[in-house]
Amino acid sequence: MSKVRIKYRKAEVLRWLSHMETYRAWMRIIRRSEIPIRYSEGFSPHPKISLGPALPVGVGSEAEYMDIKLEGDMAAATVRESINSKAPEALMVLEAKVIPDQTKSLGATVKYSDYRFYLLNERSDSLSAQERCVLEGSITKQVGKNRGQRIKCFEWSQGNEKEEQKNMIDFVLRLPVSTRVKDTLTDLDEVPDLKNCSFVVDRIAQWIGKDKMLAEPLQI
Amino acid sequence: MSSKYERQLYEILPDVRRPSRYIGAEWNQSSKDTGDVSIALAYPDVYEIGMSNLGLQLLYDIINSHERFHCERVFAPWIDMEAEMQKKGLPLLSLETKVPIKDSFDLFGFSLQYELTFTNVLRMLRLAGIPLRSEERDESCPLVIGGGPCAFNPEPMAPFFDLFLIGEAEDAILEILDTVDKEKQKQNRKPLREEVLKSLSRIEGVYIPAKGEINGSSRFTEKGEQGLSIKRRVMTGIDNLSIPKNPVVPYMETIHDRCVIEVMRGCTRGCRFCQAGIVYRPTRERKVDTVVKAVSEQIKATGYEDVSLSSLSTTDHSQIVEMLEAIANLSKSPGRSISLPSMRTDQFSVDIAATIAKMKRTGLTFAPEAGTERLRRVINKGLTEAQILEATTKAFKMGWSRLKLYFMIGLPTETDEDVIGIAQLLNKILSAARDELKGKNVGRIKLTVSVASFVPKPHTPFQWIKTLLPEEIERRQKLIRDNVKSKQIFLRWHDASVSVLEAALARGGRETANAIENACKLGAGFDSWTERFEFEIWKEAFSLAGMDVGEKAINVGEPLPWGHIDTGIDIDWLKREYELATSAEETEDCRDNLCSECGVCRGKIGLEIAGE
Repeated sequence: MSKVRIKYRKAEVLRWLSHMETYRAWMRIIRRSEIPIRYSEGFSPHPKISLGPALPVGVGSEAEYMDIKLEGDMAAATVRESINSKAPEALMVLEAKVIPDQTKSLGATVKYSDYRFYLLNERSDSLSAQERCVLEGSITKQVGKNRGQRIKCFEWSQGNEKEEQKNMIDFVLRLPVSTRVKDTLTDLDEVPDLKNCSFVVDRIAQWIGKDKMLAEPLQI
Repeated sequence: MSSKYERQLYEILPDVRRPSRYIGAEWNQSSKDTGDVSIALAYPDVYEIGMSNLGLQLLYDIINSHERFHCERVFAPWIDMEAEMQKKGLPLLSLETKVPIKDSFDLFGFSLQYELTFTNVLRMLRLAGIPLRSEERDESCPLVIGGGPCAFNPEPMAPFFDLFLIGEAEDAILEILDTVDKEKQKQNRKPLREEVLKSLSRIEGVYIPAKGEINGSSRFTEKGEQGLSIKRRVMTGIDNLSIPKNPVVPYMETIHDRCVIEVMRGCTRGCRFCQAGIVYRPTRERKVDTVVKAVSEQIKATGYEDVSLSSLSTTDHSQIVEMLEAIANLSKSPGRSISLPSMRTDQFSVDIAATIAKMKRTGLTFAPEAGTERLRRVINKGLTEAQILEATTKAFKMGWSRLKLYFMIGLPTETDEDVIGIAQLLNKILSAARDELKGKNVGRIKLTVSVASFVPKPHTPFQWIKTLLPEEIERRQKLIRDNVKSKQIFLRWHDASVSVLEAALARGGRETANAIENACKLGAGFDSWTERFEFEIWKEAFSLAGMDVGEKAINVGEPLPWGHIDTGIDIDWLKREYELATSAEETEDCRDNLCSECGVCRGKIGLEIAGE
């Protein structure tokens, strides 16, 4: 038996899948890939797939994790390639690593997630200095309340890229895994001057605690 | 191809329930985005209901496998989504490329599986910006086509459709698309609707309702004396028909979340209430090898573990034992299960179920349908009480503790004795189980009993029969409740008023369309969802149309709204069956070479039995 930790993305429209739907999608992808997945015992055997902390419906990700158990050994690269040949691009495996059997579950070890917030401004003009100030204040308040951290500040793109990215603001917050990202969003939504803006949120990293430091779940 | 509506759609998703209904992008979704002729195939209910329909997957596969044709799916947006779309000015969009149905497709096809989805058809047309009535549509609209079981009485929906296809669509859909293609080429521009419809009307099975009104009446005598008779399409050589190799795998949990393989079409048991048992005659079986190959391909292509062998009565397949063995031997992968959606209530079926349970134990369902032997003879169910008790007791003995049982009330000739008979039969099933198990595990036994109300359907021997009033249905429900003693029996009812409406819509004539349109205007939609069904709306809708929702009996011999639809079954046979029913006489299954002369077998059409 071996255990493999997998990092995958959950992008494009598949951001709208619920945690349960994501799990079912993986069951089917893994069966299609014909890798030797291990099954649970009992009346209703299930493949041994264990997903990391749930992502809220509507939030995309470039850093989701799951652990799977295999019968026998298989090279991590083979696992990745086999799965990717049967997975949609929006749910692709980015990395796979064979990990020790006794490795603690993702649910028990993941401590923080980094979320990237894109603020899509539908208006043709960019935000005023005052609006930026209000937004700043709100973010600072949220980060404080949730004992999070500001990783990256605003970046104001000046319509140089694609049309739809005009006036796009993004920032990254590192939030404890227990924080409900949706609550953070709601609070920002209440900033009156930003009413016509909508958010796109992506999880871009997850962190586990290791030797009193933070490490990526694959660094074990 | 990314549609300009796509982004608007995604902006709505955070505000609606179950957004994965609207995203598409499933594994095995067709990557085609264009074709010489394109059709949007609609199922007038939400995604998870529609995606459980085998016919939709089948047609999607057939059409998209054809190099010149292009098919996308579309489902009814739930109330919240529909409201958001209207608020944003978004029209009904296809699931695959998210383009407006009205501008992007030559045909808009609806699968009509259940009468209580009729208002959703109208809601979808409305959201698409297509006028509800065929006569109001202009050249900018796709041709609206309907098919499926409810098309066997097309009249209640006739004004809303440009054409119907009656019967099995495998060949006919390609003939229809081909005809549209030829018309488009011939004229080198968008062809005129009228001319296309004229060409389409030459295809067997195609019914153009605009032609169906004779002297202001839409009642038809049975032999097409008014010059109109539409023959049902019947496929022959079922073993050679295509089975989707790569069915679409939904992300959402659907009703049938597994591989579904049709192992047999038609059923000749001849239950007299059953429309499917008439309109899908004759029985045609697929061969074991064909089924096993399809199962193997679909499992590989989908990743499903579970397989459902679908038909109207799967344990009747002449090679069911061999088939199950072969499927079980396909792979030793754990977690695999096989389910048979419809089984006979007999010992043989329990043996079969036990074989299947070696892989993964699934539920067991029996459908005695009626409470007394007399009434079971009336409906030609042909089950003795001894057979039922043998089957259920055997099931308990073999380790099942929960059984599901289906019954109907309101059947023709039913008396209170028959109704109470349901309760008595349930009590007997329990006590027989207690005797057999001698106290061991008896406490775990649970009978889940679903009691539906009988709805007379067109083309059946009971098509002439009057439905009961809701109050009477409720009185009979109470009779059962009062006579069931054990807490191990769980009774579930169908809402009496739903059945009354279902009957009115199933047997209505063209005038019923007014009531359906009224109901839609009054806010009806998703009527098959308990939380949405409002009988008061329907009463008002019928009354505004000058009609009564409660149904009356039809005299035998009187012209029928569906008299022009020729299923291949002899009307005299139906009448004879009706007479036999009233005297509780049975008709045997013609599978055993006892032809009762229903009239369906002619020319190439006949029984197709595997291994013969």
